Amino acid sequence: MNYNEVNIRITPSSAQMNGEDIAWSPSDRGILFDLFQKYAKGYAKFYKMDTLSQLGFIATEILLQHYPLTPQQHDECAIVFGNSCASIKNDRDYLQTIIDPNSYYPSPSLFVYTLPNIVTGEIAIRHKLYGETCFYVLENKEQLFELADHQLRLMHINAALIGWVECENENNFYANIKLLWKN
Amino acid sequence: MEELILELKQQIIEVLNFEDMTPTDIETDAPLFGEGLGLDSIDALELIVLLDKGYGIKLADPKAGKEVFKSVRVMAEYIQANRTK
Amino acid sequence: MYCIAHHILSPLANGSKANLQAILLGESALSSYHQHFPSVEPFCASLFESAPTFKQLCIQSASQAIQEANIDASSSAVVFVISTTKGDNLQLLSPAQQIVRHFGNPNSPIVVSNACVSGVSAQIAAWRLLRSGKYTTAIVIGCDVQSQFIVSGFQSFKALSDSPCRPFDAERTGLNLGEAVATMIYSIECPKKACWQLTAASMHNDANHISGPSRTGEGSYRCLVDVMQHCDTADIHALSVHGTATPYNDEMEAIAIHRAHMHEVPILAFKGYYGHTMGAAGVLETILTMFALENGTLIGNPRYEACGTSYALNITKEHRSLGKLPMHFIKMMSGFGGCNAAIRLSYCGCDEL
Repeated sequence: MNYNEVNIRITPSSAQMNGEDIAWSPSDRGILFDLFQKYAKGYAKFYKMDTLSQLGFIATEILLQHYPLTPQQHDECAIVFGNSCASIKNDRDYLQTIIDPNSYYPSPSLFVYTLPNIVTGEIAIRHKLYGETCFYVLENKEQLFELADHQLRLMHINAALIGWVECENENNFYANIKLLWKN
Repeated sequence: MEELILELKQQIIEVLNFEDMTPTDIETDAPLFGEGLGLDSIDALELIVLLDKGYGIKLADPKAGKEVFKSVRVMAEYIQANRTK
Repeated sequence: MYCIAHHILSPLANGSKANLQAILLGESALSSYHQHFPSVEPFCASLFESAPTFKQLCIQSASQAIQEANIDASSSAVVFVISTTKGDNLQLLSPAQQIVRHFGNPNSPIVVSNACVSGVSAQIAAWRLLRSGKYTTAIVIGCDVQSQFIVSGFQSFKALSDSPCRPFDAERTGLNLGEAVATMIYSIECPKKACWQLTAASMHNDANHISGPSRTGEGSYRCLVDVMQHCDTADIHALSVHGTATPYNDEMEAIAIHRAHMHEVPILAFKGYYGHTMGAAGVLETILTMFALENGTLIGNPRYEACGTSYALNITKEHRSLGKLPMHFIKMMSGFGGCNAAIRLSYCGCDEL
């Protein structure tokens, strides 16, 4: 059974869907904020997310706005994401709240993002996707795509978001997310 | 008191990342949870950190937060009565 | 997929058998810690005395399981699946690569980091990997070590109990953290002896909240429905739950179990002995359930006095006798990010001998 496939890529300086540039109005707030303003303005939870979640969230948002799923696909859509550095950027941000014994105020809203799979949860919540969500830490994106593709076919999953979402720091991130679905 | 209320609103906007809001958008007597600002359980925990960090108030039981975080005014009154810094 | 060997190393004991014997005697390594990590408030946890590293633990446990299975871990037909949330000091991939290299295995490791569900997700990943035909054997290792990072975070969530935890009890106040490593070796070939086989698996998201469990148990309920397909509830001899002892998690599980009409199935919960061992939990608790049922025992839930959930479950403080040969059990987990997973394991006793 063949799947329809579309994809999106986002870096700090570019956004492309199916290889074509996405137009947006750049500001000094950075690409994730700019894309958010264009595609998901009003979803206030975005501001609470860590960069990894913002990245996966906005990339998925654009994909699903252009390629809406049917209600049935929504119900079953799987989210299989991976990267090679887990939640390291946000881990470091959380560490800042506990490292100084004279200013030790562990932040719950940062701590919750110290798990890489939270991005899959944010997307599931936004789009009401009840399928499986899983996060892998792997050597490269080819390994993730091979693994996820095999799982999809083996389990006869109707629709899935498969994505490599990586964020080492605020200025160094990369998303390559595919949406696959059966007719 | 009014000064503390304004300060609190600014802090709430900052620690809870309400990017698009200004202090005038938060009603002093509106409920913070549910219908009003629509805060969730993580926001409540972050407000507990705010009380500790900003005013030296330790709220050990998160359930106690339900009373304290009823509205900005209730919060301000609680801070005034219990602050240690 | 058959489990051909397993091993547990915990603060309680070294070896699956020694661990089961310890909990049969009602032992636990949960104790109170004051100023164990900088700045954190006093907490109750189950920690190794010698403070071993993540990598040391994984290698020690996997070595013993590999020896028991009598397999060649350096074969390209063997894949390592490692379940962890925080790895070695926040590094996940590099320690996994070092572990695989230690055993001379040529394949890239698969690290599963899916919050508390990781240990069950890792077994599901192993199952699918073996069905791809690329591998014959999967070595699933679950491990996490505790740190100031983790304890401070759970304290900021007000999720920790400062005394030994009480899953599902009316007086429960929160969870205890724990350290452990557990290894399961799965093979596509039946080992020609009585063993457990993974026969169904499911994962679902709650699509509700990133940290709060669903009020309807949606994801967990859907997982139970999936793994119960083609299976009679009467043949499920135990439901090995997550049971963290936080007010919301246990309530959510009770709702999901009730919705799935499985509230009469005996509940096994191990956090009262080991605390929440995070990346290890799904593997550790699967092994303990297998082993306890083989031993004919339904493990009790220490300190359980009174039902503390909206729906009553089949749960006791004391150990009970199973009184029959085991057939199936379900291991279920839920975690941050709204993820849920369940697997069904079936005892393969005679027909293939």
